[in-house]
Amino acid sequence: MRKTFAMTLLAALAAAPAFAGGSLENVNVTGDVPSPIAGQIVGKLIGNRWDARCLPAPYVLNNTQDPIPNPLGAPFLSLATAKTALDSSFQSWNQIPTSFMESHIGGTVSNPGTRAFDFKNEITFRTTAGFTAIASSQSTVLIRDSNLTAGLDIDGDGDSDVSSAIATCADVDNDGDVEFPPGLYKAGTILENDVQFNTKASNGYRFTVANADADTVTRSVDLESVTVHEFGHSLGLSHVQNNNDSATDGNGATMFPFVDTGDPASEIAQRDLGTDDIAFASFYYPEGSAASGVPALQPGDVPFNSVYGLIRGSVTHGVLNQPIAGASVMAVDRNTGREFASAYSGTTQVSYRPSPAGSFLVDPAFNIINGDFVIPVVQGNYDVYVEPVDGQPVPATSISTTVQIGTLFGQHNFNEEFWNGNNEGAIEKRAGESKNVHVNPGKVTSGVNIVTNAQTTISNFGARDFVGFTGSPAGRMYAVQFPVSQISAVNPGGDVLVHAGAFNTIVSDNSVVPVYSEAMLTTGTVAGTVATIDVANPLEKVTGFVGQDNDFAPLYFKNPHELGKRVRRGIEDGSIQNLFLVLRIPTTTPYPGVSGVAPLVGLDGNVAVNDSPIFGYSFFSDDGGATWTRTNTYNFMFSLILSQP
Amino acid sequence: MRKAARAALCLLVAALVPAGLWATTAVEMSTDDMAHTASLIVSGRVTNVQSTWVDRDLVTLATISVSEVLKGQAGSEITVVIPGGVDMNRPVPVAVSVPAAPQFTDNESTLLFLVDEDQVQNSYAVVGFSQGKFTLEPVAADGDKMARQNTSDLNLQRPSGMIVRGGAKAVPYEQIKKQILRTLAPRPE
Repeated sequence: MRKTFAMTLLAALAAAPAFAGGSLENVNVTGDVPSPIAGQIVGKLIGNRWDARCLPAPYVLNNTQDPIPNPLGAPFLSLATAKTALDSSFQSWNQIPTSFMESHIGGTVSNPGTRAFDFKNEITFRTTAGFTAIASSQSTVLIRDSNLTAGLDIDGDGDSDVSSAIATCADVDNDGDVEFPPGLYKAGTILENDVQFNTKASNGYRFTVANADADTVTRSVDLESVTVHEFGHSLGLSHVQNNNDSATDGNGATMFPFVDTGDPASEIAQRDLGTDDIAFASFYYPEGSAASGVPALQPGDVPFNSVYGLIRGSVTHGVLNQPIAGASVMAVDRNTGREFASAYSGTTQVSYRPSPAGSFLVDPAFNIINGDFVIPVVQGNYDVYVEPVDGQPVPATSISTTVQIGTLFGQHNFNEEFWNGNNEGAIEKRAGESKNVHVNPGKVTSGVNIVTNAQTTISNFGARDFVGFTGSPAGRMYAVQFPVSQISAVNPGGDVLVHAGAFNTIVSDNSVVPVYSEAMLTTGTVAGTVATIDVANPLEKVTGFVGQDNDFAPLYFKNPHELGKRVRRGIEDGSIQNLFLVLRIPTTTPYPGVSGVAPLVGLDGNVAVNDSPIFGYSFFSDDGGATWTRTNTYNFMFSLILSQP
Repeated sequence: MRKAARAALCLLVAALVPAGLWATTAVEMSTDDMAHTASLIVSGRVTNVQSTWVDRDLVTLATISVSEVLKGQAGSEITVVIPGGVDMNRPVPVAVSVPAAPQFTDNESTLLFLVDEDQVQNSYAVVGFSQGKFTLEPVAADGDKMARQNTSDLNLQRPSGMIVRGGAKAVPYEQIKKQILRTLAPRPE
C-alpha cells in the first residue's frame, strides 16, 4: 500500500535508512557493542561524509611532476593545464545548486613520494609500482564517534591536528596540513582524501584534456572524465549500475565504475554529471539543511527540499523471505524513459574483529537489519525496478560492503522486475507490469515495497567466456532452443506463467545503446542438427529491442498467464515441441559507435574445459531465419523465465 | 541452529574495512589481459592478514603460502600488499579506505595475478585491483576447485538438469589454469 506523506523532507531524511544509496561505506564501532561472535563487536555499515566544518575541502596539487609524465611518449601536458581540468572537475560538483558540498585546489605540495596520511588532501600523479588502476580516490575516515580535543596528534607526525583557535578546518599554523576545530565528529567523517593518477611507464596512462585528443588508444584517457568520477568518490559516492541512460543515450552515470578508454564519445560524456550523480550529491549534502554554516542557504543556492522528493521502500527476497542487502533499485522517468537515480537496499552490520581488523558474517538476521532504500528524485512520475548486483554490469565488490553481504548470503539470484503496487508479491502474474510512483518536491512517497519474484529461470549455459560476434553480417539472428521437457518440468501437469525472455546483451562502445532489430519468442522443431524456427508466426515479438550493455535485458511478455496456457495446450496437442528465444542484430550497416561493431551477445564455451555442457541448443541464421546452423562451440546466453501460477 | 549457521557462514567479508570499497577507475581486464600483465601468477593459501603502516601510508599485508606457480618465480611464501587498512590504536581509530582493493581472508585458498610492488620489499600487488584475485573453492568430492572472481554469474545446476543463474562468476580452476598457460605459451613467428 503506497502512501504519500506530506511531511517535510528534512524530517524524512532523519528517518530514512541511514545509508541506502550509492555510498562508500565503513564500519561504525561506536559503543563497542558485543557481537554474537565472542571477542568481537558490532560494526554498523555507514557512509563516508565530510563534516560541514571542513568545507570547502581544501586540496593541494603535487607539483613535483611538470609536465605530467606520459607513459606512451614524450610528456605534453603541463601541470597548469592539468590543474585547469582538475578545477573544472571540482566545479562540476561545486555548481550543483542543491548540494552544499564544495572542494577547491588551494595550493601545491612538493611531495616526491606517494600519498600519505598527513592531513593534506593531495592530488598526485605519483603511484606505487603495484598500483595498476587508472586513478583512485581514497579517504581516511573515523570508524568511531570521536571527540577531537585540542592538541591531538592524529596522524602521528608530532604536530597537533586539532586547534581550539579555529571553528572551521584550516591550516592554522601554516605548516601545510589542515587542522580540525575541536568537537565531536561522527564515525564516517572523512579526515583526509587523496586522489592519485597512474602515469607510470609500466602500467600507467596518458592523460589528455582536449576533446580532439580523446582517442581509441586504450592506455590514453581524458583527464577530466576520470577526475569528475574520482571526485565523486571523494565526497563519498560509490558506484552505480547505470551505464545506459535511455533507449537513445548509451552513456550512463559518471559514477559507473568503468570507463571505456577506447570510446572517445564515452570518455567525453563522462565529464558531465548525470541525474543520479547530482541527486545523491544533493541528498548527502542537502543545501538548506542548517540555519548556519556551509549547509545554510547562500546566494545562488537552491534548497534541496524545494527540488527533490524521496521514494522510499524496501526489497524482500521472495524465495528466501529475507530483506535484501544491496539490491539495485532504479527510478525511471516515465515521461522521458531516462534512468533518473538508483539506490541500494539494506541497512547492514558486521561482526567486527578489532585486531587484526576484519569483518565477519553471522547470519542474515544479524547482518541485514532491513532491506530499505531511498531514492531522491525531482518532481515527476516514475517506474521503479529492482535488479540484482550479479556481476553484470558491475561486481558487488565494486560497490559496497552492504552489496557484498547480500551477495555472500546468496540473495542476488533474482530476476529484475518492476514495482507494481498492489500486485506486488513473490508470485506475480506480470513481472513487467509497473505502477506509477508520483513524487512531489519536499515530500516522501513511501511504501514502494518490492518482493522479488519466485520464478524459474531456464538458462542453458554456464559462465560467460566470450562476447560475440564482431564479424556478424547485418541481420544475423541468434536463437536458443528450450525443449518442452524443460518447460513442463516447471509445474508438471499444471499451468505455467511464461513471463519473459532475458538476453545477455553487450555493446562494444559504451556510448552506444545496444539496439537489436527484433527479439521474439517462437516455436520450432529440431531434427538432428537442423532447426526449423517459425520466425513468421512468433508467440511474442518486439522490433527495435533495446538491450542492456553487459547485462541481461528482459523481454517481458504481455500476458504470461494466457501465453502459458497457449504453450501448455501446444505441448499437450504436440504442436509445440520447443520454444525458441530469438534475437536479431540490425539489418543495416554501418553499426553505430567508433568500433563499428554489431551489438553482441554473451557466449559460454570455446574454452579448454567448460563449466557446463555445450547443450547444442544454440543456433544462428544469416538468411533471415530460412535456415539455421547449430553451434557446437557455444551456448548463447538467453534465459526463459517462468513460474507456477 | 544459529550457532551452526555461524560456523558455516563465518566468512571474512574482508579485511574489508580497510579494503572493501571501490572508488577506482579501472579498465575491465580479461584473463588473457591479466596473464600478460602479471609478473607472477600463483595459487596458494592466505596464512596471515595484518594492517601496518609503511611510512605514513596504512596498508594491509597478506602472506600467501604458495602451492603452484603458473608464471614467474616465487619462493614458498610471498607477501601481497593491499592498500588501505585499519588502525584501532591511534588516538582515534581510523580506517584508510582504498576502493577496488582486493579482500583476503585467513586460510583462504586463492589464485593471484600479481605485479611487483615497491612499497614493501619483495612484495607484490594484485593486477587490476580485485580483478586479479580469485578465491578457490572445493566444490566436488574429487576435490576439483572452482575459481571465483565475483565479476559475473554463478550457475547452479538443479537435479532436473536445469541451469539457473546465481551469484558470482566461478569457473573451474583447471579451466582458467589451462587458459593462462595457453595464453602464455610461446607462439610461432
